[in-house]
Amino acid sequence: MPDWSMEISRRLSSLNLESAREVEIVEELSQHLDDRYHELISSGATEEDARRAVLMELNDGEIFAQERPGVVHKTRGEPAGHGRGGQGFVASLGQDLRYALRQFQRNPGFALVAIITLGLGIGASTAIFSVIDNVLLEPYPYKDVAHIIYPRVHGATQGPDEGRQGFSSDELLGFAQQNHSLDGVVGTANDPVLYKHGAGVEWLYGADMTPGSFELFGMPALYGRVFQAADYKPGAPPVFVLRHKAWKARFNGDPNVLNKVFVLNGTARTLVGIMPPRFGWYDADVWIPKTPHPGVSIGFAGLPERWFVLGRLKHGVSVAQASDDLTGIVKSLAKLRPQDYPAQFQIVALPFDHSDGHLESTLYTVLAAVGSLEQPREKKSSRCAQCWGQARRDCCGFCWLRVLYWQSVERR
Amino acid sequence: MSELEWKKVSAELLILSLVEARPRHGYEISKLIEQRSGGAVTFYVASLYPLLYRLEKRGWIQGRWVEKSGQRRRRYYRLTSEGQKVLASQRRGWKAFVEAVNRITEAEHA
Repeated sequence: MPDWSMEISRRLSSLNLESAREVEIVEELSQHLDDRYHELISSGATEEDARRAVLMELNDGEIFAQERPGVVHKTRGEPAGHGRGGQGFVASLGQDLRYALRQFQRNPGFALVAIITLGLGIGASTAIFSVIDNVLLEPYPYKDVAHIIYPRVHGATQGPDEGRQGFSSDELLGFAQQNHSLDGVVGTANDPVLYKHGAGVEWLYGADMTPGSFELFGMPALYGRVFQAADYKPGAPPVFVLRHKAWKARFNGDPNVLNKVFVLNGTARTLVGIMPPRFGWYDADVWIPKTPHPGVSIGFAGLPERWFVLGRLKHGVSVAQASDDLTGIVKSLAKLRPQDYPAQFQIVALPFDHSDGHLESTLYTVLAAVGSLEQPREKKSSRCAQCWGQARRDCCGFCWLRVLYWQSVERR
Repeated sequence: MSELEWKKVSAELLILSLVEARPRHGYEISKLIEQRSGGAVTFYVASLYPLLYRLEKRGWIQGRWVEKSGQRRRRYYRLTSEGQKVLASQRRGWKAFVEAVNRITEAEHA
């Protein structure tokens, strides 16, 4: 008895049937050909004549060719019954891929449009979500940011977003030493840095940080270490910590710069730490340890040094309670330097991560801001200083949205 | 009209009619067509099975493997309830068509 399976399989190969389905068809057609072969033998044909006749009938494929779509569709969508077994998923996946490729070959234009559309859609969704995730859902890399507050001297007649948020060393020390509502109080001040190296000199954004600053943020260094108590002691070797972005841009991410000495503002300082990518406090390139001392100290450009103050609420203490606590501390200082305060004022403690409006409206604002990133307006606002510590820069709502956006991009 | 064209027009009706009374396998169907047509109509394997699969896909017939002791299993096709409706409709259409053709040809001979 001839074996017809090879002949049948060869004719079915172009249909790209699922293997289980092809096995069934081969079995069914082989039986038919066997019966036909026996019939011809019984009628007196030789084996060779019978085999040749059967193969000729198998090649009578004119209608077969016209019916191919029916065969293909049958095998694509319906259970094959006996013999399908567990070959299912992988075989089906392969078949689907082959089918997709054939469709692409037949309609390359459609395939191109579909691929581009999918690519743009996925890319846009990823980009928008990246912004929303970094700006709204997880905007700060700091530990327990919901309990971080910053104070502002708010005059009774001033608007809700107005007031002074630069504090003297006396005020900072008063907050740190006399408060009952905060677990930690730290200050940050602008300190532009002239960086001198072999090729020349250049300005870097620098920020002075009081003891406990990195601990308040809960941020360890990516490489090296953050400041330690010993770094703040008189006579301690000068050190500094570098921002990840500056490390990448200026030193090509070379880890060998760690523990090397750099001349900053004429002082030889050792680079002791490089921060993680998301840490960009005060938008500084370098952070320098500095201990506040009582009295009027001189800071940047010969002006009295002003500290941007952060505190961490004690467990169970509200923002309002912290405001009252800090107001009481400053009232006594106001008697010594009344020129620094409005006639009637209070200290308002504001949540570091506070935002106005509902999430939905903010999302729409951010989405709109993405389209306006290149058009910041020149309008003064203190909001950026509140949220990002960029007290040295005048900026507006568009500006802080741009900062938020680029912070999110930088994080990637 | 060639034999092929006649086949295409009537093939569905032939197969549905043959599986109406009881389930039959493919070879049986092809032999019945050949025998009952006196050899005038034949369906070889390459023509018959694609048509069977198409009718099955439409839900007019249903194939099922049947195993009998001492024999290889065979796939038998039976008429479904939907196929019965289609068969009735095609029979009416075919009958009307043949009668129309007869009326025309008889008029020519009158």
